[in-house]
Amino acid sequence: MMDWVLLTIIIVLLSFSLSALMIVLSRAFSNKGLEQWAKGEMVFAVSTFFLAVFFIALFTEGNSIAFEAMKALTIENYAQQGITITPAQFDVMFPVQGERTMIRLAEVYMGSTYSCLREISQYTYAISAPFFFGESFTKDFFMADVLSGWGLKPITQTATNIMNYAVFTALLFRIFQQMLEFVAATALPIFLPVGILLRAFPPTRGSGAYVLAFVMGFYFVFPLAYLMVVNLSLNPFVCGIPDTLPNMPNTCSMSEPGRAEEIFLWDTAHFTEVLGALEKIMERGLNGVFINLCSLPFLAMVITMSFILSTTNLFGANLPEVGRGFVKLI
Amino acid sequence: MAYEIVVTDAICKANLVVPDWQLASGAALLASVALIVFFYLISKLFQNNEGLSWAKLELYEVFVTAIIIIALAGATNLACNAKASWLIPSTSVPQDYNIYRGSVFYLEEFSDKIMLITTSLYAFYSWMDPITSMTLTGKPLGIGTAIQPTSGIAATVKPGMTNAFNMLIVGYITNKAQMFLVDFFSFGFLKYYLPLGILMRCFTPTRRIGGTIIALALGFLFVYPFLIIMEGEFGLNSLNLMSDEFIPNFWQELGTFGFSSFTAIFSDLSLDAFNLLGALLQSGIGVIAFGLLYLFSSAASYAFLFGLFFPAFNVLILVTTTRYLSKSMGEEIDVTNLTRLI
Repeated sequence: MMDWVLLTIIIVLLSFSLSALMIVLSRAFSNKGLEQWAKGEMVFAVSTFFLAVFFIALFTEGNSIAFEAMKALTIENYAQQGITITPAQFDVMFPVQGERTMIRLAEVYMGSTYSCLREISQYTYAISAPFFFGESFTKDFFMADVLSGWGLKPITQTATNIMNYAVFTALLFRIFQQMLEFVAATALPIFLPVGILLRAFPPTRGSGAYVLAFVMGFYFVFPLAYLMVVNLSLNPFVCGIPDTLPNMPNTCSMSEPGRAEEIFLWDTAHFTEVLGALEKIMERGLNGVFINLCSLPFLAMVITMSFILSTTNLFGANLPEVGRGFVKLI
Repeated sequence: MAYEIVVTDAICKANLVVPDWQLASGAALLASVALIVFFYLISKLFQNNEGLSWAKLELYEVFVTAIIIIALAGATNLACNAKASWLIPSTSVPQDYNIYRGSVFYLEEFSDKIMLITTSLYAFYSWMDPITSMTLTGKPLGIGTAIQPTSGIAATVKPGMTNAFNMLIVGYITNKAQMFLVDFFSFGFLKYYLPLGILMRCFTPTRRIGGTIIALALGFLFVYPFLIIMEGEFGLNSLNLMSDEFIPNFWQELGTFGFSSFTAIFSDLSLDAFNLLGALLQSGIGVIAFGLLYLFSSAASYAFLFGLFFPAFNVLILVTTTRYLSKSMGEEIDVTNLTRLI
């Protein structure tokens, strides 16, 4: 049996035993008020028992069912766009390595999207380097600039913007990825038993309910909501960056007469082609990556926080402002 | 040198079984009982049933306060002596560290790592910036050319690095602030606020605010360090600070470049300076710059997680716990006002 399941069962039994002990004591001392209170606690212990059973089922069987559902949804989504993938190909595209959980699938999906981001950055970096050189190029004739590379600015500026977006998106991806890793490592072995333990006692019932809602929210609802919105967007992610690079200029031996001018001329000749390639990157690649790694995770986060907010109340706490404060922070 | 928090020597002495505040609280409780008994007798004398009921209710509250004091005396002694390794047996914190020193240990470890990365980033940047922004000018008699042959190597990389630097610094500051906070509350709450709360809970007019202070103290003394230790243990050890997981061919790409041409630039710096671009590209600076951008971004996201996200999460748990504890202790804290701080 998994450690967290065992720990959860022990805590539920402890909660039962304490409530039963209080009832016995209240009857022994004929204290009606205490008996009433103990019976109320017994009801909470029963609800904790059902909650624990629900969590165990959700995090074991529920995860597998949701995984299969997401797999089918992804395959269907790709099929609608004319891309046929078999279940075996799905396993290759999204290698969860036997860990068939929502959190792992979301992480792997994000990772596959991130590899496109890296390709975009590499392509942009490589293609823009000669243009930065060309942009810095000036020819003086008695303090007058007869020739300058200022006209290459659109490409260098676009490349800088693409890279800024790419780095920002990479940063967000790493945040989400590390958050998911932390949740995967701590949710079941630590937070779930702690939440159930806290919920068992009246003074800490609210925080226990919050912790439980947080576990359910981030371990199950967040990855599920993310994969749902990704697949319901009817636009499966395909990395659309140009297949080929133009033949890059030879930047070596620049002391040779006319070599710098050659690079500058190469820049001028390939200006339209490269600008078109960068636009294509933005249109077909960066947009998709940004939506998949930035916009949709935030949408999933809003769904998760709303879920936590309402579920916290369901689990026995009343914290309307805390969730709002957290959403405000996000 | 490790950051030493005040609480260990000032309060958590092994031989301090009954600290002064616990005696003072007992005295306050007795004073409170004496006052209530006095009012009870007055009410009895004047046959004031309302006064009698009030006095009985207050005696009940004093009884509850006495139970709280006994529980807190045990809890505070436990807080001083509870080792971080009790919470997580496999922890990397030294075995004799209590939970406050343990949480500071993690915060300090994280700060050190962040500072190491920030320094590396600064060192790399200060080395890369002049190389990639140098301008070569050849204008004899006012006629000639000026170029920045290496600008393309880092122009797209530098803004990302600056942002990563900012994020790392913010993470570092927040983390250090948490260290000082742990130092403050572990000393201040154990020595001043908690005794004050207990003292105030002993007397009727200040009972509610006393309960609130006790709840705050319990939240800070037990919940907050626990969260930091847990996040530190599972976060610092299991996550890669600068992960190259998603740039799999970075090292392979770097291995394809030779460094001999790079060293040759400086050993043979002559009129052939225009060869810099080719030589620098050959030397792999481009690959290093690009790869490090991702490594530093990875570290920046780590700093965000531990410098901003987890502190916010900890505050939420702290506020929630404190609210329910304060309710149990006598008065519910208005969480609406507290969350405005976030």
